[in-house]
Amino acid sequence: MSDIDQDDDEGLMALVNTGDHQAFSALVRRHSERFYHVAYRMCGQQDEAEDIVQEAFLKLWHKPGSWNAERGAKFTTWFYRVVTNQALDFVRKKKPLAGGEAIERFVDESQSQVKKMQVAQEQDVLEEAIQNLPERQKTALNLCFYEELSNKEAADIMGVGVKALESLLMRAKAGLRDELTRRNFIGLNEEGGNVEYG
Amino acid sequence: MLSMAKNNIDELDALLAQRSAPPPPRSNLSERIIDAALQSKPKRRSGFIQWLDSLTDMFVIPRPAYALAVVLMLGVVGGFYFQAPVQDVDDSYLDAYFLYMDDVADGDEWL
Repeated sequence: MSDIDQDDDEGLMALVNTGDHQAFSALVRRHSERFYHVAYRMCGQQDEAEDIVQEAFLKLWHKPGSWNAERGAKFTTWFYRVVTNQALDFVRKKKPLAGGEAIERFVDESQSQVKKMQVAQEQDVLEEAIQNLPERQKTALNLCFYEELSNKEAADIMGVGVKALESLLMRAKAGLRDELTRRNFIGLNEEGGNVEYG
Repeated sequence: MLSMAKNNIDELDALLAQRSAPPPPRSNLSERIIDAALQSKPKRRSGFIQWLDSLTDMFVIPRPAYALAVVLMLGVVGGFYFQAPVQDVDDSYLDAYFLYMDDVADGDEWL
């Protein structure tokens, strides 16, 4: 392992600022997969997710000064913001996704054919319901639930307070619950009453 | 009711956990990005432009809409409370000016 691989992200960014391609490569190798996952969960398409991540990193390469260490944000926090914004731009241009294109799926090959189809169908419905959430709710859900970031980190990435983030999460889950109940995927709220979260 | 709600949340969380994992990237993504970066060198700007860039970076407005609204409100409130300094006009100067205009008019030079 070279010295550069042991540098932290912020140290690497300082080198990228001077045009160091090796530092940039180390940063890309370290983080491209993680940010690809984020982009994929935002847009649901493999090729587009790859392009989103590539574009975000190339922007970073061309204009490294856009990340300013003195502002105190961690590199990953800032780059999450760049990638999610880019993915949201893509989704806005590309809409509507639901109903039309099949969402690309990754199913465990060891399952039986019937089970596979059932799982695939469930995953399609779930994916479609998530993709149809309002942008900010979807982003909050992806960051907290799938990226497993803390509420504070997710709130920093989205530029909102922790309370606002919690409210977005709650609304996202309520929206999903209603949609999935409507499609008979979960037997929630059978008595028609309001479900209380907390 | 509360226990039903708890069950609902658990059921929803379990369902959310079943969301399919993203497939691995098709190409070797990191190498593709690194190659693309090699082919396009970062733009090196002249010293002055770079300084100007860093100056503008210092004044990034995180929420432009709120910032604009606040500035407008401050302007309105400021304009309401602070009276612009009014310069005292010397009356004798004005009197002399109008007297001169009267003279010009009387002298039939306008006609």
